[in-house]
Amino acid sequence: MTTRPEIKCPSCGAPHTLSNPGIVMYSCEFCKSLVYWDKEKIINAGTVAALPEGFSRLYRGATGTLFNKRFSVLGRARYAFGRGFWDEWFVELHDGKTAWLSEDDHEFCLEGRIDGQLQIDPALLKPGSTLAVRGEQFTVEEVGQTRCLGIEGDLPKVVSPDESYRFADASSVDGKYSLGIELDAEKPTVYFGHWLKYASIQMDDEGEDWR
Amino acid sequence: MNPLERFAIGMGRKRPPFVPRNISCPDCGGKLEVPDERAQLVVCAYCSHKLDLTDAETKVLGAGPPRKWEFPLNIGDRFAWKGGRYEVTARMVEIEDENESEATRLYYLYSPRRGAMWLSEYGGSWDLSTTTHVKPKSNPFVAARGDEIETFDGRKWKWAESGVYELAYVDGALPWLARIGDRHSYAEFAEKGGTRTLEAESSGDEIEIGVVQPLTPKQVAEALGRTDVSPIPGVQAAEEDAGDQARRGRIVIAAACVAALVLNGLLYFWASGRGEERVRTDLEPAAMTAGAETKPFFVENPGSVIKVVLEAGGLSNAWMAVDVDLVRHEDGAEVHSYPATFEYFSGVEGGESWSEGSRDDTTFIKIAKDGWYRLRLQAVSAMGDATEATAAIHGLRVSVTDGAAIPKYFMIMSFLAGGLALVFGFSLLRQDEDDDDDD
Repeated sequence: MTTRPEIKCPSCGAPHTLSNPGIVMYSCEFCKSLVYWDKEKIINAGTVAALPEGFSRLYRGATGTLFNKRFSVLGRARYAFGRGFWDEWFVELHDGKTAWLSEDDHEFCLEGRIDGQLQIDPALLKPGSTLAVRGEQFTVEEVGQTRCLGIEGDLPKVVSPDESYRFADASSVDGKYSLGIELDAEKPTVYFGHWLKYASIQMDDEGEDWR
Repeated sequence: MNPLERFAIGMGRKRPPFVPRNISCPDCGGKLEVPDERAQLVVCAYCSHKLDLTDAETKVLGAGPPRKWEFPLNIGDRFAWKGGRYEVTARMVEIEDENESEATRLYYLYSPRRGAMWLSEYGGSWDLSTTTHVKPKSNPFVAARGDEIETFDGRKWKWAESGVYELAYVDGALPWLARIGDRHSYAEFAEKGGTRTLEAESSGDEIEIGVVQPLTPKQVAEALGRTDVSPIPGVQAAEEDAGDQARRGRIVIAAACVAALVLNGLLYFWASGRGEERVRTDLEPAAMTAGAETKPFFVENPGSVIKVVLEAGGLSNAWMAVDVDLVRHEDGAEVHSYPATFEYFSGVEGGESWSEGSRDDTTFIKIAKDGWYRLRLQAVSAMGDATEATAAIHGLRVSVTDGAAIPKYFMIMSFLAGGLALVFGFSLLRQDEDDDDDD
């Protein structure tokens, strides 16, 4: 039997069980405080931007099947850009691995961070411009400034509400792959993903209200 | 709890009920329900003021559209499409060249589970549009009349039209701050060999590619749960759009081809068995070498077709060449001659048996004049790879049938009909798959 660690909210004292060792931040379900920790202590990031319930196919605590793997939705972060927002859903797979499902206009892509150096010149990232990554040709669809609107549930990284960075979104020219580029640091952070068809995700509880 | 139990079906949290966002208009105090949580713009249903929901506090952007437009669909109408329910959450009118008589009415169809689609109506014709990430290989905005472009999924599209749309009206709720007078460039391309349209739109900082499929008014009415879609005054409802006509045409041609395939198949079997056998005889190898004749047989009608079947049943890894002469019985005059060569090889290779060639030959001969005829045959045959022979070492069975029908034409027609049926069948399947891809 595995005992999952429990943390007490520094603001209200409510207990919170961590289901995955990769989690470093959560939004307290009771007082909505954002809580994260480092080696020495647990820190309260303040009562800001705990997201309300979302109404897409995914929701916190949902279970389902993705490419024959069972998954559970642990949390999400929402980012705003000029013409709306998108959600990054953090999911845990039954084998203990984790993944990000990025949702824009209720369309999902399964993303993973690309390690290593990628030579990307931010100045060349404009809508319609092209770049090659992992042997695929990508077209930039959108470039803009984004900021985090808030989080819900558990996350594997510390997201600072109101953190802001430039981004570029691209799709492979055949429409199969996605590319998310964060231009916040000295070198860009790049996420490579697969666009998912509706049937690729099977939720245990699809709900009856929008059928 | 076993760690894996958390992932078992039914162990997840129950889906929370959908709750639309409720706001109050800061101008008139009207209570508004906004289903799409991403909505940034709401036009108050009571005072028509435009409201900005981008920030936590609702702000009034200003007065609404300068004039009212009529729509056959209302905000909140439900639209059932491919197993999902959508709701009309916004309506727009776009015009071109400031000409209000050339208006396209657009309906934003929202589903929190499936995303958004655009339903549009122009001149009584309906379209359903979804965005795609598949890109054109060339810049669609520089294409002109007669140009073709190709998308990276291998499809080809022919330029149809391009121009600039201007937003003339908006109500409901949209996920961006639309303003009356907003303009965007567009270019449309008709699918080659299909019914869909590729649409490229550019608003400066964003390029969107969409795939548009035509809908009949009946399809729209069914999706809305109505018996029909009320026409807008001054706009004649299209009886049937080009896409539906093309689809119906394909179905009719494919059905006709299948019918022709079945008919010609039946005719083939009928022709194969038609006629009356006049002669059936077995000729020994020695007789074949020296030259043999069949018994005389009677051809009953002028213009009749006889079927001559030669069967070398004992031919195995060997070949046979036969000279066949059809002669008139009364004077021995040669009416028709032809060579018949057949070979049959078989064996076992890599544990699998194989065979090639044939042990028989069938020939149809049209006889101009009725009367008595006989066949004169001489043959040589040899085993294996021998290229020459001076004698026949195999026997031959000969049969003649009078009043035969030539079945090969029916077979050719069957192949043609089958091929056409496949072409049009695949074309229909591809159209259906294209529709499914839009999910």
